[in-house]
Amino acid sequence: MKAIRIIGKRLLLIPISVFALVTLCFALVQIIPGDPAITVAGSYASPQEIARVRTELGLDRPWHERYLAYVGGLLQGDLGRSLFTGRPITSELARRVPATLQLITLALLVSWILGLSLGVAGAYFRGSWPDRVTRGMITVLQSVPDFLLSLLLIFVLYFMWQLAPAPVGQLGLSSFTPGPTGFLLIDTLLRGDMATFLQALHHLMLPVLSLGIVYSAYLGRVGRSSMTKAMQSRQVEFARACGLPEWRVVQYAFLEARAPILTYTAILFGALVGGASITETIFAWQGVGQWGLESILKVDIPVIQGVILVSGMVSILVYLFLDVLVMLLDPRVRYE
Amino acid sequence: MLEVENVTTRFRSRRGVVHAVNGVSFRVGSSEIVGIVGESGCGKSATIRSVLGLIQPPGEIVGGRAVFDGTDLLAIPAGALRRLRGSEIGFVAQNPFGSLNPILSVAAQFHNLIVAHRGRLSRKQTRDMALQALQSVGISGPERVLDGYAHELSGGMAQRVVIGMATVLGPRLLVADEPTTALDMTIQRQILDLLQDLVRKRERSMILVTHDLGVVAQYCDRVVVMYAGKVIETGPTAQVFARPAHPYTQALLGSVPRRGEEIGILAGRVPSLIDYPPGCAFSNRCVHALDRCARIVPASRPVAGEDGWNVSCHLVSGDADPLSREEDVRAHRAG
Ligand SMILES: Nc1ncnc2c1ncn2[C@@H]1O[C@H](COP(=O)(O)OP(=O)(O)OP(=O)(O)O)[C@@H](O)[C@H]1O
Ligand SMILES: [Mg+2]
Repeated sequence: MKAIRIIGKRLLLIPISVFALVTLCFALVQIIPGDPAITVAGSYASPQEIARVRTELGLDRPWHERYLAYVGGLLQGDLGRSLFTGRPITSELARRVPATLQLITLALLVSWILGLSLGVAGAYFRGSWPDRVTRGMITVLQSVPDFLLSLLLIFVLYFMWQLAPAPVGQLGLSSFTPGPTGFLLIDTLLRGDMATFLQALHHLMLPVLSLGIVYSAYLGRVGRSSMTKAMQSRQVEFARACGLPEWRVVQYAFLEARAPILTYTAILFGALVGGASITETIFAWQGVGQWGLESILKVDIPVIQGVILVSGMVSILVYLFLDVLVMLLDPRVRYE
Repeated sequence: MLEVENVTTRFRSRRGVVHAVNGVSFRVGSSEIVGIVGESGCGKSATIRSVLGLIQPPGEIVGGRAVFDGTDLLAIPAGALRRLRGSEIGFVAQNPFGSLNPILSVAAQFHNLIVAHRGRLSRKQTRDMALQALQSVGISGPERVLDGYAHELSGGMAQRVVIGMATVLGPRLLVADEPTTALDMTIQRQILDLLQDLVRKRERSMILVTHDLGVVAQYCDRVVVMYAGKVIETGPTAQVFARPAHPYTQALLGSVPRRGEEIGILAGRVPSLIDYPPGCAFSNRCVHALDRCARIVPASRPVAGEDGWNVSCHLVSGDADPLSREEDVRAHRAG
């Protein structure tokens, strides 16, 4: 069957992408200008300290040896340790990745609902006033910086109206230790801890809204353009000519328009794994992006490598998943 | 059965208002096949889309009536017109591939169509109706087609499926907009024969839009000739073809293209539908044009006392035989 062949081809690309990603992460250390050991240890460091960092980074060995050691470590799940805290990066990521994934998944859900409503409404009412209104809203949303929106929401919803909790992370003060999945919403449900579940939801509210609203502009644009095209298609006219109700006509159009929307969602998801850093920082989320931002400021090279690696891996997997999904949803690809 | 009167439709475009349909009138009797012919862009599709309520912005119907069995389709609420489309009036479009939804199976599309008009029915019930419809349009393996998708069908098959969908609820009027232009020559005839069959056997009526005068001659009882958004001549096919009254119709028939060919004839150009000319739209290409042709819009007048044969031309006087027009012209030139 054609579908299996295409999926097979798509899977073959995975090792290549992963190899490229790993190599990029490794090359990062070499790209840093000057002596990375000095950059990392600081210009006031003693020669012993610089030597220690150099050994730590493995810079005293030839590059192919280091590369093999690096890949070998990765294969055993060892991403090294933070130069500053000395904690293993793998265990830190195990805590942070679920926090980020939970945040951006919900945020993209909000973007989908908000953005696609705007986009579909604009396409449906093309040329009349709802189109102009939604287009204006999308433009405004796209020009609002995410940090500004976060601060604004905190000010209004927390400070003024007390509708949301303070921006103090995923739970604030709580004795809940995540596990087994690391996703707070899932863990609390699994353990039947409704109070903590609601608390987690409550803390998710503001960061999810900030990210969701900002990124709804992108989905609104994509949704609007692909729906506009679909609404003008012959099949939509024929659906109308058959006397289908308007909601069904919109559904027919959406079926045709959804592929680019799904693809774009995958791209946004991949970008947000490491790219929600500002929102994460504002809400003390302790996620991947926040960590990446901090470690870039501190030149904590192994952490930067770890963050790039993990967001790259998530991107690769999400692209794969959505590619296959889009394909399976389309009979033109599914069958010969 | 259907009486179209003075329908006027415009499109707002960046370059100005496009006068696509300018006071079009014609009628379709019961059990009658009416052909609409004219060059590309003369407003054939816009006319039938107006009648069916399928004009989307920036298009706008600015006037006229389309009375179908006593109801003015242009005056009833959109919901009521929607319920007539598909059940009382079936539509067959030009491109059969484009007409079907690419993602849904044929069976699902039949189901959605049927429940939209007949309310809650089971998949089994709608499937049975669909099977019957597909058999009636001459599809031999209807089960397989139902479970398949648009892209798996050949052009002819896809158009049969579309016709099956247009007729599954037993409409009394079929509207076909160039139903065979996108198909192979060999299949064109099969599809037209099928449509004719579906119309004649069930005592339906049909509007058949086409470029092809041969098709009109063979299949249509009456013909509506359109030029620049206007009906310039309409009448029984036999009479119009034997003694065309309007110079444009004469020119068309004088250069009858072979089957399937575009009608593109005559010197000069079709007038712009944006800066619509004040008089007869054909006057700039008409070899017989009089002074007033470019200034005064000719009214539609019956030809030679024939019932239902009308022409809009200053050269044809209401009572005279169309052939006497030559004398008219000669007299004009002499005087
Ligand atoms: N959406 C639109 N916006 C602007 N102008 C339009 C639109 N749709 C149709 N028109 C114009 O209306 C006029 C009539 O178009 P229509 O499609 O009815 O022609 P037609 O006789 O069906 O031609 P064809 O034989 O090529 O199908 C054309 O000049 C076309 O440019
Ligand atoms: Mg047309």
